[in-house]
Amino acid sequence: MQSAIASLEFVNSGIFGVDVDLRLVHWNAFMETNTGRSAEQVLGRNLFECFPELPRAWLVWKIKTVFTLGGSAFSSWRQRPYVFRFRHTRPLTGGIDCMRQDATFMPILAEGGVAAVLTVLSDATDTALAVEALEQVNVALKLEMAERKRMETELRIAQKLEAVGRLASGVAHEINTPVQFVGDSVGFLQDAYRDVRALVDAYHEAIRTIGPTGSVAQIAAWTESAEQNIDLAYLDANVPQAFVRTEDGIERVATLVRAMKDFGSPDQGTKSSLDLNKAVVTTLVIAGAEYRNVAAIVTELGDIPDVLCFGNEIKQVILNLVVNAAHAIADAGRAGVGEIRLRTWQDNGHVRLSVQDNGVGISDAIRERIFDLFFTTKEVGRGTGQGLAMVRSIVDKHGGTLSVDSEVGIGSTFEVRLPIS
Amino acid sequence: MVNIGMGQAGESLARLFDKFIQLSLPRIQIVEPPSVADAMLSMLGHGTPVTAVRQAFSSRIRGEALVFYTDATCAGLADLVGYPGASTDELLLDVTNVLVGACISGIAAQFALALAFSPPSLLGRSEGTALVLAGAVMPWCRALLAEVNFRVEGRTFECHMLMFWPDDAMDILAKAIDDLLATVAE
Repeated sequence: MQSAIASLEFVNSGIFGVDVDLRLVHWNAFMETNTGRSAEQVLGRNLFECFPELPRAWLVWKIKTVFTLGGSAFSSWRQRPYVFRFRHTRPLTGGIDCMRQDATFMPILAEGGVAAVLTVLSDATDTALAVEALEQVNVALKLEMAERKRMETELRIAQKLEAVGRLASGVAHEINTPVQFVGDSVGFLQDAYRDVRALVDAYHEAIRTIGPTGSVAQIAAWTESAEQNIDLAYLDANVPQAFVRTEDGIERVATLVRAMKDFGSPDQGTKSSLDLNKAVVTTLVIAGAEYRNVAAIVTELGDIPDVLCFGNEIKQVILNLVVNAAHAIADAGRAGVGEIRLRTWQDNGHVRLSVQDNGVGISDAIRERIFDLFFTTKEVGRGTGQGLAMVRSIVDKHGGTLSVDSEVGIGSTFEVRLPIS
Repeated sequence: MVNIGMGQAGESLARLFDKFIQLSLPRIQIVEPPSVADAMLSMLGHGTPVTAVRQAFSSRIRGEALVFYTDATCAGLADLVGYPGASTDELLLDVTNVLVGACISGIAAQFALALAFSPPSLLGRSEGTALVLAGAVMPWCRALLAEVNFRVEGRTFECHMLMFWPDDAMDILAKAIDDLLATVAE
């Protein structure tokens, strides 16, 4: 038993004790080795007289709390790296300036209270190095995550720019057609006005030439001749149509402009309510050139509540799915007889959107990869492999799910499920 | 028992801090894991963000204490302890150790129990009370919860301590109280 107690003197921790007057009453081998001061040299002497470099006020407080309360006190290397500045125990591997220590201050109880306070210093160097390494990894990971987030944002912007670029020529064509027939109609109306002006001039001339005493027959002959000259019957038949065509053309351009404005309006950094059905309609207007010559659009838009989301991003989802469907139909050689069917409905706290096509379909071999970034089966210049990856990223960001059901040669159905709030 | 323990704790703390320590009457209730957050909110209130420190104690009766500090209290801790130059974290851990040590020892003394304490550790910094234990796995079915709050005369110091004795500790505590009452009756 005695030898067991004696061997405690050689534990790999520093142990020293002080009495209420801070005189050293215990000093183990670890303390002797690391301070270079033997027990004979320090026992019975004041702790701070022997070691004036110690943090006096702090140590006195710690020891006082143990004497006063009779419980233990603690110190961690994290807040106070060491009590005594000991050499570290890594002479070969190094990596730190001095030994990190955890300290426990324990009461030595005797009759009537605390007789002494025993301080145990544990070597926490390895723990400190491991934690430091872990924290460095943590910092690196955080930086990497921030970098990934930045790249994702840039990618999203690039994808949007790509989509805008792709749509631009289509939208220009969409605008050009009504502008052209509005122009034609306005030109016709200008000519018509010139003719009518000439007719009015002819009426004035008749009044002036024939005078107030002229016969009705003369006036009738004169005006009939003038009206035949400008082909008034033709104008009567065509001017109203020209106005209708102009009005229709302007309305078509206005619809496109409204849709573009709605599609392009930036999110304000926070989610807001989106009417998903309206977003579908808007996106279909914008993407008209992408599918018009390929497929007919069928919409089955259900009675659904607004969705709390980043509206601009969700419109990109719809756009990408519609463009993807149009490409799949073209690839299947069904241009002109294709069909893209968009459905929305509500389902248990979620709204769902499906985009179904009768295109080429997706083989099992690539189904797992279609949402991977930069994966594409399209030729260079037609697809960059960002569209579906972005769709998945956006849906994930909204806490939604994205699934695909497809059969080669029959077509595909992409389904987006978004939480309402 | 808790009340007597707090009285003794207040006396010890006053000697240590050389200030009069005001302790509230303890509030006690039995809680289950799903009701802990509500119990904490009703005892501590909703509004002010808190910094929480935990410390375990063990003997035959083991448990854990949580001490909640307001930001204002955190800022004024240096005035309370007798040494300069410490970080707020170190002061929080130190003051928690003192408060928990005094209170739990005050209670344990009545049962003649020797106690061991774990080092205290920071549980959450300046956050809502409900968030402190959010995500914590609570491997117990029910626990005895005692709450007491501290004020120090003449200082901007206010904190709440919640002491938990889970499951088996509750049974042992109940038996210890029965034994103690039987001794008194004799």
